[in-house]
Amino acid sequence: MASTYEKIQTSTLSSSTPSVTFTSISGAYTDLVLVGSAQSAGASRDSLGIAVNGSGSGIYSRTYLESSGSGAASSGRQSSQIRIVSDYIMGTTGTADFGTYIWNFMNYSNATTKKTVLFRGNNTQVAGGWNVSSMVYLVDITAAITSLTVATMNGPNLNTGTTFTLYGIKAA
Amino acid sequence: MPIVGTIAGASARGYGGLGASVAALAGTYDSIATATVGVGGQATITFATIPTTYKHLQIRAIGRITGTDNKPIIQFNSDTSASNYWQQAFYGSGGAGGSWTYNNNWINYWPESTTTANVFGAVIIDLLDYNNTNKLKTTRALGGFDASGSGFTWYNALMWNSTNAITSITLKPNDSSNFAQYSSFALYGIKGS
Repeated sequence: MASTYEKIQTSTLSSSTPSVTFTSISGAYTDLVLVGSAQSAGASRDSLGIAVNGSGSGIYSRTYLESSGSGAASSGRQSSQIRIVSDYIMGTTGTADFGTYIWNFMNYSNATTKKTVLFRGNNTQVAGGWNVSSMVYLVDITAAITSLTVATMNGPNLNTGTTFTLYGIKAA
Repeated sequence: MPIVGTIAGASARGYGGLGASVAALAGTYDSIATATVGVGGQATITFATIPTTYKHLQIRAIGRITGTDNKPIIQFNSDTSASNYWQQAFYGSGGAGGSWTYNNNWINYWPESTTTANVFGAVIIDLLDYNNTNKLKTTRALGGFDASGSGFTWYNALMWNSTNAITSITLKPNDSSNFAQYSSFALYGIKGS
């Protein structure tokens, strides 16, 4: 049995940067796993957005479950989004508070089915809790996923120290 | 890596690779078997004769059900009695979040025959310490689907009320229909230290 869980690429920011892009993603795997630790270079909280194959059109939708503070968990659904939108990320008012985010791009390289993405996000700040979330996304394309671009949704750069690693998982 | 706190040298774990390095991964995560459903669909997916050489197992799957019940179920060692399984789930379906406990073996919530065509659900299931004969077997799952106007996301913990080592795993639709063509199921083994 071959070892099947491989790192494809890591990007760690030494200065604030508008976006991180993984291009020419090999079709040799069954699933992709993107792991991020991120913060916005803006003062306010933001969200991460991922463009698949460079597309900024409304091909993304999601159903989410999240908990914030001490209230009951909430759920929602959005369609026709322009990115795969994550849970919140902290801004620089959070000093060294970075959230952690994991996306699973399931069966990303087949050219037959629409693509489903599973997500978990967690972010907290020293002064108090923020969010923990679970989301499932539809990317309304049947083409293989060959590139991923991650940026903030509202425009500020990704802050220094933000890191993303892309893994590939093969199947027998 | 997929399992919390089981890989030597790792400091933080979660679904899909938090804190992992290539060195830590080498030789610890193996593909055991994969099944992809062909034309006409398939009623059951069974991983039989599972090796005992791993510490944990993981199933990664996409799927769609040809009937009208959204829920695939899981069975271990051909134990078909739903009353031997218990599950606790925490879910979101667009409104308020909710939770449930049932004495059954639902393992996820996937698109069915009336869902938008070509939308597939997904699930990642971790089966912890599956060889240990001193413990009841517990799994955890993250999964669901979105169909741009409908959808379901959930965490699920499932207990099989048996201390037997898991030697085979069967997945099937709850309504005895089929998994649709292109549904795909991959079983992985994760080694301990």
